[in-house]
Amino acid sequence: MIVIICLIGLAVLAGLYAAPGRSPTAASSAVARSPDPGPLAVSSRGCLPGITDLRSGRSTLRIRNTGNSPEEVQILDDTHTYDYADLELVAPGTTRELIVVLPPGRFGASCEADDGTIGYSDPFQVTGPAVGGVHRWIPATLTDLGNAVTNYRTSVTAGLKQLASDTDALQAATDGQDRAMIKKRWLTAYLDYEQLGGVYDTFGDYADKINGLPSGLPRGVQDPAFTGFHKIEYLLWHNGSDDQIRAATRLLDRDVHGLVKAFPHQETAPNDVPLRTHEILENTMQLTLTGQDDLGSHSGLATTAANIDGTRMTLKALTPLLQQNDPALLASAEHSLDQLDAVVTSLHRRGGYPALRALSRTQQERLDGTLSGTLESLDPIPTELEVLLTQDNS
Amino acid sequence: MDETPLTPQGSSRRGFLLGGATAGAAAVIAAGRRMAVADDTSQEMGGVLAAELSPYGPNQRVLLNEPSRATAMISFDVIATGRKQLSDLFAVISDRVKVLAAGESVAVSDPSRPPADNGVLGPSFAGNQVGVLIGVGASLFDHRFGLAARKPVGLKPMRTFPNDNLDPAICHGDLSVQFTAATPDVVTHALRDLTKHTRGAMQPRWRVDGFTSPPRPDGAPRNLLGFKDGTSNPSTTDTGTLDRLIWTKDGGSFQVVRIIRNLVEFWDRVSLQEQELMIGRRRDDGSPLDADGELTAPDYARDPQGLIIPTDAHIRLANPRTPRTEATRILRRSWNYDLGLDSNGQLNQGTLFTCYQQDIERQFEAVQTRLIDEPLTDYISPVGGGYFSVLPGLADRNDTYAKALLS
Ligand code: HEM
Repeated sequence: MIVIICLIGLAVLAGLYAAPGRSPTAASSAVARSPDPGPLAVSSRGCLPGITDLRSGRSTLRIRNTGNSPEEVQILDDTHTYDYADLELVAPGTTRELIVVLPPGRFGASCEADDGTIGYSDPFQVTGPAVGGVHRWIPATLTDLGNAVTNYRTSVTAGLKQLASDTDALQAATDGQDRAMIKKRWLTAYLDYEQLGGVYDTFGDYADKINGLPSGLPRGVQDPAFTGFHKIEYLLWHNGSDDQIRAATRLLDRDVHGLVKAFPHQETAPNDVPLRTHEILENTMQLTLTGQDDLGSHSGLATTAANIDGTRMTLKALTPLLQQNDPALLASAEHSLDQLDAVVTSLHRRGGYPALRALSRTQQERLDGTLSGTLESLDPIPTELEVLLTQDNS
Repeated sequence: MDETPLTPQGSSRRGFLLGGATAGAAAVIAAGRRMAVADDTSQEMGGVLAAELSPYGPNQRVLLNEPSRATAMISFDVIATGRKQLSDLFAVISDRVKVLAAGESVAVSDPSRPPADNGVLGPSFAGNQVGVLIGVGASLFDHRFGLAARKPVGLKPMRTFPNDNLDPAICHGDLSVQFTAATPDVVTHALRDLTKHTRGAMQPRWRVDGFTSPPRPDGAPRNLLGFKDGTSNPSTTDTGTLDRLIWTKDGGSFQVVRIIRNLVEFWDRVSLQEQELMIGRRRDDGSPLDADGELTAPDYARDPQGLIIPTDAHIRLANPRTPRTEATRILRRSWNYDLGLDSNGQLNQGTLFTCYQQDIERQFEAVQTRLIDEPLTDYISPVGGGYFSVLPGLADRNDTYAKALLS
């Protein structure tokens, strides 16, 4: 059975390289550098038995799972420190292509089954000239990510405490008539929350109660389920009555205190922190810079600044890990955040931030474009640090 | 004569594009005449030879191509600061153009990164499918990069003409990039690729996508007013003509982009005769009103008073066909666009008009000036666009766009 499958694999392979439309240079160099004897097998019985020496440069390995459980295959240096390539999930009965750029040296493959048992291939040699385009990194472990989550949650706990004290102050202000004071305190508390963007999944129902938008609610801003910061914003900037504002503020303060109490018992998934390094700012792009989350306060730039701080908070929790695993990635992420920070800060005026729509076209393009560029620099972080959780997807 | 007549026979490239029966053949533009030749289908792009898609050579010859079936015209503003960053940006643009031209095997190459390619064309994409055309606007030569002294002679911001209704949101820009291909997915793939790699260094300013139609039933493709559009143009194969009308000394050219709304509802309420008198050609087969056949030249000398083709007909004002106006001729490349509806529920359709010339004032502006207040202006409304200097082509694989400007 397996033999037949391998033969078919070979035929497919031959067809693939002969197929028109494939770039001739890429295909021929792959063939020349790594004559492929057919798919390599992975299963509980062995990790790529028969893997041969390779030429330096780009190689394509076809890997077939001939066993019964999913496998993850990595190409590692001989000390098993650095990862050069990763096939996250090869399901039983499937064949996948692993493309890797290897420098000269000694390497090996590791095959990790679903149950955590790890097998290693025979070591193999890569010979030939030094090549460009090699990327190696130390893979993160669940323990690494667990540490990052712990660090991150410590700063969130502190942030929540500040938030609760600021929503208390907001509520206190609504006892008086000073709308300017209420608006000021609203903004302070709102920005506290916007810095915590990294855990919105963890917050469960509280996230929507505290910071939900009217979109998706059948009655929009009039919907009874529309509560929290944006509800108060809407009332404050659309002549809401004192009573309405007081009621909405009281509800917000209650929910914030509810969250403070609930947070220690809420779980943060291990991959969340790396994911949020770009997702907080993806939201800024989608909701804030487009004005969608502006219910009247025109505080988009202050929100963007808070989201940058929130992103830095996630990056800080990952710093020890990235410093060890991929310092270049950390440096480029920090550099791009600094650039974005500088653009936002340059827009600050003595009275605070101007409204987004008051920016000149040049300012707007610089802001949108720099944020876009930052997102491109951040996007490798989750991919690189992610740990595949096949067993527990909670 | 440097006229480029269409071949009237069924074997014309447009006839080929219409019918699937001749699939497998690709068209070629040769010696001022278009004809079908047997060739590899993968080389076919809206009927132009693969060679015309190459970014290499003294000129960006992509601009000579007949309008492709699909296009995206996008203008960018540079947000990078300083000369060095600007050079880096042009290096990235050049790199992507080379990759798009060569094609690539794009299976996930680095598993610690999101996929390098957007996958819109599948796991790999062939080369020679997309034309990319790069131009720079006058604003690139302001104070930011110290390039004021390097501004190409004759490059300036697009001026406002009396019948214009320009929306600043869709005018001008530091760069213009046009993608052309036989299918919209190839255009989208290239657009996504280039914007991804240049994010943070330049920001899209405006964009209009366009399409051209198959011949109905033959000859030049029809615009949204129902008329054949693109019939009469200077030759794109006669080097003398190109040197006289299109290329600048350094191998560049000037691009004029005009986004011209067609008031199609209004137009459709106009009698056929009035429509034809406004254009100067028949709607059914594209013949000039004074002759039979799309490719027959009108003879204005025979009709000085404009009794047959009115003196204010579009084609007569645009190209009076006199020795004096010969030097004002432009190479027109127009696509149709469709942006849905306007605020009143009217169809927001129009012409993505582009034209190429050696000298904007001597050519485009002279033609546009003759067209001021022509009867057609009631039915069209220029709403955006810009003037750009088309850079020379890439000399080789190590060359980058704008090298001469930035060195
Ligand atoms: C929406 C706007 C326009 C429409 C619907 C339109 C339509 C047409 C049509 C139907 C023709 C005849 C077929 C042909 O030879 O291609 C034509 C020819 C021409 N048009 Fe336009 N046109 C438009 C804008 C312009 C503009 C902005 C210019 C230049 C400033 C221009 C310059 C010309 C020229 C030079 C010719 C060829 C005349 C000849 O050599 O006989 N057109 N146009």
